[in-house]
Amino acid sequence: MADNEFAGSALYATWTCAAGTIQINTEFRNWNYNDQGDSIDATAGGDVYRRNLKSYDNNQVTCSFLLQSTGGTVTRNAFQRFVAGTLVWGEAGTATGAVKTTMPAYVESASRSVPYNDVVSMDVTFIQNGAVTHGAY
Amino acid sequence: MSAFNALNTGIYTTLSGGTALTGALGGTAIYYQQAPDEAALPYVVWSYQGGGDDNITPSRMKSLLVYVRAYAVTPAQAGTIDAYCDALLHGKKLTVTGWNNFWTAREEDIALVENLPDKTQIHSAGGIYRIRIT
Repeated sequence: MADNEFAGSALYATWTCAAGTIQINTEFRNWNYNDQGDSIDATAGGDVYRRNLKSYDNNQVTCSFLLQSTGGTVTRNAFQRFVAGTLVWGEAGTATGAVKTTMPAYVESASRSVPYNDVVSMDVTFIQNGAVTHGAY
Repeated sequence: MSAFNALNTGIYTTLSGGTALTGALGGTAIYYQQAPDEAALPYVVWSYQGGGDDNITPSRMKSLLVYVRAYAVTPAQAGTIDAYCDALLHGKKLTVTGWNNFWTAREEDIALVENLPDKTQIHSAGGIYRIRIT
């Protein structure tokens, strides 16, 4: 039976901000989307289990990618703390029907790792800054 | 261009451009994979010992292990020539057409002796270099 699993290499992802549009998937190593948010404890009276009300969304994306020596200042400017923009990505690529997620966000943190004997990489955490759109290509 | 061909050109150009090395060799006796039959000692040979694509990002990145060694009539002469090769390769950036060499470092030291049928010996000294290109 044919299965339809796919590898992370299929990812397509862009970050559009004042510095321009950065295609993240070109050099990415890891991408993690966490659909999370706050909840309000509504447990009361004779409840025998905890009840919660849905509250604010607080989705998060963390990604890791390799820095390019030819990148100049564009990458640095695009991934500075509190730079706002829009993340668009599709885990399965951009084929028609593939899942597409659009998330207004800002950069919560961006760290650059410079190991002596390995490639230089950057880890960025994005925090939701608007309504997330779950669509398809 | 093939990574093999591009890197081979880079290695040969780098080694043959070293005046101390070519002086010790008496020329550019620097060969890929194997020296010609009955080549006069000393000479240098390089070959691939392993490695390949990293496959950690969509961009092509290779991590190759290249064994560069000198063959000579004495261990001392082989060691001296190996040191010249080391000075040209370790920590240096090679010109690899179509690729960017961002890491070249020696990882293993190897010294061997070969006994020929006529009871003479050939001594080799060299190292395995990890060469990373993207």
